[in-house]
Amino acid sequence: MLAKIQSLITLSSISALLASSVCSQLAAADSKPYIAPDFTKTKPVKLEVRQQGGRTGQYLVYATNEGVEIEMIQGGGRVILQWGHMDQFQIYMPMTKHMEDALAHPLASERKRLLKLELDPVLPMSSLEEGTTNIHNLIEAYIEAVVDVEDWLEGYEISQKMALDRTPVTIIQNFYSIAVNLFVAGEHKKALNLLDQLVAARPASESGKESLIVAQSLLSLRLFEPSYSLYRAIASSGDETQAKEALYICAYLSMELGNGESAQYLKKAQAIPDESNATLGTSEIVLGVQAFQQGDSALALKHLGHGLALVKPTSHIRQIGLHYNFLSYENLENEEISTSILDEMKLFFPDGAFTAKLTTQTETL
Amino acid sequence: MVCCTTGTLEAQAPGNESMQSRVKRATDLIHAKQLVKARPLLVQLRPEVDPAMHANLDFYIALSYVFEYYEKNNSSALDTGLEKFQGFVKSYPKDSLVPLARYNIADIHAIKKDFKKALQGYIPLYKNPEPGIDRKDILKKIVLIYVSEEQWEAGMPYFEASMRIAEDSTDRATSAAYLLIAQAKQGIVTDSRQLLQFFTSPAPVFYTPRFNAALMEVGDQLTTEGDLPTASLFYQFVRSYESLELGLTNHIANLKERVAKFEGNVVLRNFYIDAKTELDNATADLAAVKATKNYTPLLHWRIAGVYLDMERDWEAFWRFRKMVDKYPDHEYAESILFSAFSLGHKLDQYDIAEELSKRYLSNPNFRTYRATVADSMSSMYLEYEKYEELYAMTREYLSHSAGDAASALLLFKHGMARLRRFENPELINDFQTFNTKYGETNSAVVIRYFLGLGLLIEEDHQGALDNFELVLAEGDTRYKPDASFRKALAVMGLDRIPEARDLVVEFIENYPDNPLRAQAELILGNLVDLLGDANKALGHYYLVEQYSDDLELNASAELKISRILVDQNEIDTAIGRLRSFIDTHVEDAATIPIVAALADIYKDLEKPRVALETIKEPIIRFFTLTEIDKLDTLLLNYITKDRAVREMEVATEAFFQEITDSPDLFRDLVIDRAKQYRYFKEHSSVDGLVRDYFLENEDFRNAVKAYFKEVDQIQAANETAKEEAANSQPPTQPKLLEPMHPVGELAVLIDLRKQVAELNASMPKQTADDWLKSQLAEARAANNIPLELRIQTALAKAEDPESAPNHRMVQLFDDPEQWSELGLAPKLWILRKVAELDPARVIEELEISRVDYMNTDFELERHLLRAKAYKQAEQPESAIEAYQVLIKRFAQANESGEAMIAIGRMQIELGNYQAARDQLETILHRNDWRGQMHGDALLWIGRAYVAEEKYPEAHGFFERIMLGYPGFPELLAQGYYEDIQVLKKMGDTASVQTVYEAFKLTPGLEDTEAAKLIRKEFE
Repeated sequence: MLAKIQSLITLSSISALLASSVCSQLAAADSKPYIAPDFTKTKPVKLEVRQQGGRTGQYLVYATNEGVEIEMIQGGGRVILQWGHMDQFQIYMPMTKHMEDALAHPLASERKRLLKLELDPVLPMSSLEEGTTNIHNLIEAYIEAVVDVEDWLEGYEISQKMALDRTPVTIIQNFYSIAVNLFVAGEHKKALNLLDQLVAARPASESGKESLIVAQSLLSLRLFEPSYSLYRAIASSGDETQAKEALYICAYLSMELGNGESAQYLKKAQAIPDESNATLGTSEIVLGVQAFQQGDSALALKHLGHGLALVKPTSHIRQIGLHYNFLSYENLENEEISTSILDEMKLFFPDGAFTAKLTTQTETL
Repeated sequence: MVCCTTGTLEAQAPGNESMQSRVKRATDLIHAKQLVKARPLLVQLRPEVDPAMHANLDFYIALSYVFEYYEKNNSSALDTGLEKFQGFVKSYPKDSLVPLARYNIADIHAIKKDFKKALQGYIPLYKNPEPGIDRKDILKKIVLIYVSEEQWEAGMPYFEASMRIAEDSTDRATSAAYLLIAQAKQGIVTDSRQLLQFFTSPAPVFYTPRFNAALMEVGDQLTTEGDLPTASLFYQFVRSYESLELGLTNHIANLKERVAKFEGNVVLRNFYIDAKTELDNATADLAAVKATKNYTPLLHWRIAGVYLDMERDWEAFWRFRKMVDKYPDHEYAESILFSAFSLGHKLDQYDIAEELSKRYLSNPNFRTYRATVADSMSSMYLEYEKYEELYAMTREYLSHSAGDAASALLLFKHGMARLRRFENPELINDFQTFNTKYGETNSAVVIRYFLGLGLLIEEDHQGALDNFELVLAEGDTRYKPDASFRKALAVMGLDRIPEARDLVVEFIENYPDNPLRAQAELILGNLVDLLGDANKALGHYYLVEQYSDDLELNASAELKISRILVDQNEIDTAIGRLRSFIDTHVEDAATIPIVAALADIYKDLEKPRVALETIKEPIIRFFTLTEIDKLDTLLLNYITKDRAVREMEVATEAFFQEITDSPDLFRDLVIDRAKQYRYFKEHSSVDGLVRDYFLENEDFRNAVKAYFKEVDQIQAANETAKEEAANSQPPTQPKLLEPMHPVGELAVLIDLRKQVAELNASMPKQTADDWLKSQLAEARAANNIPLELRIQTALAKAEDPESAPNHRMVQLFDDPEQWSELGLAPKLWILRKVAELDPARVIEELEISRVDYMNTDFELERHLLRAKAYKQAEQPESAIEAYQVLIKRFAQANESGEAMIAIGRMQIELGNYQAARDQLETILHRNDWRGQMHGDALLWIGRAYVAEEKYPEAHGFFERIMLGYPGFPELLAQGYYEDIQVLKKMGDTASVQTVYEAFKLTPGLEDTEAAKLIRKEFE
């Protein structure tokens, strides 16, 4: 058994090396590497441990930075299991009456409160390998309750108590939307921190997809700064088409943020050889925004018109194009056209912040 | 309709089964929906049971036929079922199962596609709810029937109800879609916009061609009604062909899975039927989509069209533009391309429009908009000054479409571009080629017309006349009026003045409202003036203003009028008209030549100060507008006149001082006409008023004479008195008369000086030079380089010889931005300096900027510099050509004479002696160049003969100089010198001596350069 564990340690070391390599690839050049919470001071939890071969029992389980340690009974020492290499064991949270009551409580706020009491100590166990525990499902239920009551700060706290790089994607997905909602709630620092952690911690294949969705959501909400940090990370991913589009959007966001970096993004994007309609449409819209910001509304209309003809009607980029199309026509004092554009935005992007901004602006006027 | 637990039950009864058991078994079979199996049992039981149960048994027996139809696809069972249900309703009208029976009857009609009867069954059931009947189900069926039958209007209330009670977004969206179609079909689109909110869902209904076609219809309806924004929204919700195909294919795949899942499942038969129906519909929809080839282009076209109507031009353009590439073979490809081109043109996008126009015009199948495309693009070429492209387009177009409407338009623009660019030789060349190739097509008229114009400009009047007559012979073309007028000009060029006059009169009679009327009146004025009727000429000149808003043209007429009025000694009237013109158009630079003319009249009237004042005002007004080139000429005029007036002031004061100090001179200038002539010729700067007093003012002259007479008398009396006193014994003191007061105290002189002083007092204290220096300082402080250069150039040109620009100014030539801001005068000034070191660059610059100079005050100067630069670059042939252009453009200018001399000299250098002489001899035909110019021509003709060693001929020309040019010492001396050389070469020493003697006897040649050479040889 010991030999097996030792060999697992060796394997896990290699695996850890590989994982850190992936992480460093997905993180943007200026992103910090992800540092998981320190589990050394967490209290042990009594969990049901099932060993291959049928032996089952409740043991004190310690979460450590490297894995779990199972306190053996009667001075038998501790079995050390590396994270990700515990296929010999299954570790279960006992389904007590408290737990069942908590899960079944019809009131979300109460369910959340009760689940927190039960599950807060086992949050570090989210690093357990999928399929070897019921803890993941329970944590998901807890997070679901948190989301139901929109307690985004608690959602954030949960994320800080688990190793995001080892937690299953089903749990992690919640944190992307929690991050977005933290932004909406004005908790920019926490939101940014969580997003940075996710980007740094998660493999590119997963964080790329999730990040893109979040980035698009943030963009639609006109939360430029966090959207920018996500798009920057996406831009450094391997998929050329996605990277090219992300670079264009980074250029756009740089214009919105006034950080003076739009030119370099445009240059990088233009260097990538991809001419899909979506990318070309995005590039034209970004060039339109640039022209608008340079005070050339006529040129802006040329680029924006081109871009709008290429992107899909419900594409999130389209709302940027329509937004600046509106502003350009307004600059040219063509109110009738700008009104028709706003109508179009209200229909296609009724919840978009771009639409809201222009609606407010128009109503104020 | 009734959901029960499922299971396999036996219908076959054991032989001895009790009735109770059989009833139970029948009930179980019914609950298990195994009605077909149950039917024999039910039939068997019917006679045995209580009649009160008959109704129930009959109902289920009837229902069993419907089940049989589903299970065995036996359509005859359906008929039986229908018959049985109808019988049931008839037999038991009060039974509680009657509504269900009616429901089944309606279902059977629906299955048999007898939708009318089906609806007749469903609708009452829906409107009058019955227990046990699900209204939602009925509504769904009613909706489906109306949809499949496309009875949109009738179905509307049910679509609305369906939308209202829908349980999920898909159902709601589907109903909304149907409602929308219904509204669209009835043209009720005002509320349609609210429905659009449902359409962002991925409900399968949106992938049906029927729905999308309806959306398009709504869009079309809205477009027709002018609600373009909403129309655009509808169009954008229409799925493209590709989306439909994909969506339907996916939908069909899902439905197939569902059908397979439910197939054979008796209990879930309803689900199976629903899924199967939906699958059949979707399959039919997909087939319909695949059969619609034009679907997507039509959609894009609509969207683009709406954007176009909404003036969201860029969005419209790009949609058309993308379609051009995507659907090149579409049946409407021509219209798509034309729409894209039109928008590119409307948006003033040269590159885009050019590319699309080329694509259109190069496709021989595209004919509909050919003329429009060609015309629009040629206009764009003109606007963007892409002349070579325009010329190429004309050639290309004519090569395949000569004679059509567009070719005439292109030829017209081609010709106009050449004219505008002053590319007359190229114009003639082009149109001669066109004439050769396409002279027999419908384009012949326009070709002949422009050929006539080109030849007219080249002064090939006969050629021009021939072409205009051909144009006129073609009848009432659009070129006829213009050609009539140009024909008159050609005839005028042929010196057939009366005929030309008659032609212009005829033109005016035929086309009194023609835009050329004003110009015709001006020309007619010139013609009748040439024929000696100045008053009639005035009448025509007066008419110019009436027919023209062109101030330049009106100014030309005013100049003509003032000239005639001055000739007729109606100077005040002339001045009054010119002043009035200036006052009326005070802000317009077209007044500048009028100002100059007025100033000249004042100058001729010996009113230089008024002349100066006349110029000063517009100078100040237009001074900072450096793009007005005429002002540079006026500015130089101003400096020259101001300096002359200041010089006159000084010279006049000196003159007064001189005659005061030297009374004898004063006396001579009044009494001695010869001395008077010589003195004032030598002292030409003396005020004209003073000169006039001495020459013509008899009161003044008599007063002066009287004064000097008295002086003489006193002097004589005193002389006599002195003599008598001296002769008396003893000599006595002579009684002398008091001498006359000094000449300076002579009243008329004092009065004259006073008048001059008063005139001088009217002059501005600040001289033109001082004013310009202050303006120069201001321009420098403001870094207004164009203005600074205007001033510097004017000051430099006022010097004799002209001073050169400094290094900083020359460097402006290397700064394209600054250079483009400079006026033409400073540019030429700088280029003259640059040409000394780099003539090739100057030539290049002058070629590039040729058009900028055409018809300006500086065109001549440009030609001159160009020719000199070529000469400097040692390209004599090009220099000769450049001079010839100058001569052609400015035949009357003295510079043309100088150009001819220059050509002659270069031809001699090139060994083309005869060509040199031919050119030089043309000078001798010009009477107005008599004098130095003729003399120079004779000299160079002689030299041409000398170079060719034809000495006797050379001698003849030098002799003409010696005999005919006594007033030109340098020229005369040179004639003597060169004749001597020729005679020497001829070996005629006697004649050499004779000429030398004649030279010595000729006064005034002593200090000439040639005299030094002669003396060197002979002394």
